[in-house]
Amino acid sequence: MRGLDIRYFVRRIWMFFLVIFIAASFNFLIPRLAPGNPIGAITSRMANASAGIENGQAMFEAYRKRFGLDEPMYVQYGKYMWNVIHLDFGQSLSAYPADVWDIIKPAVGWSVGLIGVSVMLTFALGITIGAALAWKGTPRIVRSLLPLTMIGGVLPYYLMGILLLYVFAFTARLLPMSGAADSSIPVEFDWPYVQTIASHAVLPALSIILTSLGTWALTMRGLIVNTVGEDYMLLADAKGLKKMRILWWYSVRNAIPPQVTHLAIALGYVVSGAILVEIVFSYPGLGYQLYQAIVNSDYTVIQGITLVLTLSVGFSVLIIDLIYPRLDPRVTYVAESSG
Amino acid sequence: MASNPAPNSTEPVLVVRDLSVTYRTPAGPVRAVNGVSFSLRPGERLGLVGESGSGKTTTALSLMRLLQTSAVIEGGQVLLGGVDLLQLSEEDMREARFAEIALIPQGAMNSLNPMMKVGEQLRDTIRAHRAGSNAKATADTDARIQRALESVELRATVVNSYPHELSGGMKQRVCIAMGILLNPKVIIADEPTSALDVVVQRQVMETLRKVQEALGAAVILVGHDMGLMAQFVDRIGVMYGGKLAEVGPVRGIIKDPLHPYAQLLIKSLPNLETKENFRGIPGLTPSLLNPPSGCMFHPRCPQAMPRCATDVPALVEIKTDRWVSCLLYEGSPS
Repeated sequence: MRGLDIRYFVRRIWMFFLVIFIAASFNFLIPRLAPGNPIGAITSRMANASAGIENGQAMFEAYRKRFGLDEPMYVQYGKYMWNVIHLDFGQSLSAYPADVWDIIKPAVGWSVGLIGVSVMLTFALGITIGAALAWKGTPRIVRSLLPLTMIGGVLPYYLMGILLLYVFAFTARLLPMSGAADSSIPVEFDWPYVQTIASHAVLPALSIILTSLGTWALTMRGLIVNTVGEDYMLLADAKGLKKMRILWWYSVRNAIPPQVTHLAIALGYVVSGAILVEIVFSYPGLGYQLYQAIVNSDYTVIQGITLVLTLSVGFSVLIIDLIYPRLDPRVTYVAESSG
Repeated sequence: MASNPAPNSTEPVLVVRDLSVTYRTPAGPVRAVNGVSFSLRPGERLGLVGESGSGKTTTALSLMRLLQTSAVIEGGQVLLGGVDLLQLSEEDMREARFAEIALIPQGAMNSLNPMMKVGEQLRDTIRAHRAGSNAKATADTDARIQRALESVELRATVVNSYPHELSGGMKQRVCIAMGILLNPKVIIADEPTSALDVVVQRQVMETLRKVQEALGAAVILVGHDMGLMAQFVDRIGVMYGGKLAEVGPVRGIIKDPLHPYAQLLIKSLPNLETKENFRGIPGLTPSLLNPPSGCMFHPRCPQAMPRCATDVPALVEIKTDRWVSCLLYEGSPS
């Protein structure tokens, strides 16, 4: 690909794996550095719940053995790494013997679907509104109405979620209150199922879009305003290009690269970025599962979700680094060796 | 004022009459161009010289109606082939740009869109004019681009380059090629070589002259480099404080300048033979926010008379093809 040589590519991929490796190591280390013991926490909770259990110590040891915590640290570390490579995060502590990956997998789908789509929509809407705000060809009425789209920005998104929930679900009863799909509808790729997914996603998506749209639009407007005085804008006008061509291919095209970087980072945080929205709407995404895991001290699930988050952020940044020379032809990774 | 300093031989391709442009600024209106009139014969090269702020670039850009939104063209006519460009609708003006009157921009370094390949930027110039009645633009786009690049001595492969991959001189050649794509009648070259070193400057100017002669287009060259002007243009218009102080053939003006400002301007040019001390023109350019009364130049003029502070001189032809706006010459027509 243009502006990208194979050595850079290999080094960048290697870097990605290094970052993941280091993150995974911290992920292994931090719970073990923390005071207390996850198994101890669980067995003592069980003991409290049943007002004392017999053979408490034996049970504790059995659990330790089951989770491999009786082995030396380096053996645990080696096994952990080996399992991580195979996306095997072990078994849930609170929902034993459920596999952590089986808990995370559907949640990834819901989160990517809901928040990924919302972030992309916000991006598309935000740059369009920003461009319209900065462009002198925008009709006056449109221009004076556009700032209204920024009102949502003053609310934190979880409050927006509660507000929307109250108005559209609780009072008007137009949309469902919680969940990701109606459980009475069979899981098939057909119209009723799509409909239930969409209707459940509208409010959580809106609470994200309405609260973050303003920031996108304002940064875009600023970036476009910066292009206005550029020499190439004068020449574009002088050439007699049509207004829309100038707006999209000269103004927006030059303003957009930093916004795409921002988008990649925002997408990387998809899985953790909207925990509270998922909680408000009981949406079974990663944020919701993470919250449940924290409440239940489910260390293995927390570790699994953290690692997935690391992977998604690392992967987004990797992708953006690799496609950046496409976005801005002045950026190349070829000249690296010659200085 | 509406008189037209053009030789009577050929029908002029461009006639500018009494053009006035005002910038609205927070400090008040600034009249940057004040009743400028001149005309251009087909194939003629006219230079507009003057110091920064004399209104030369504003004059040039207002011919194509490319001024910032804070600028208002307050009056006058820009007749191109008999059509007043200032009266055209936005859409008709858009069609006229580059098809009838083209611009070779000042900032060659940054005038090309850094995000787009050179070929695409040449192509969209042609495409923007296809839809209109301009039949000549329907000719094969790529062949047209190849021919234009050839005439400015660029390899055909530059179409696949991004602007940052080209040198300053190459970028300026691309801009020249762009300017001639649609065979315009008039080309405005706004200090086209100001960002280039002297060697490249010379090559670019020769290229410009070559393509201009081949095309038969008239050129308005805006700049302040008198040496460059002397080599390139047929006639010179000297601007001062938003007005034309003097218009005439380049040789006449350099050998025998009439307006006191033009005289000082010519004198200030360094001369290798006499090696005099480098002399400037004493005083500062007038504030256009609060312009002097009478003649714009009188506060700095060594030959100023009492009535220069009150009377505004008109641009009059005092010898054949020599136009000057100065009270010294009033009452001495040829």
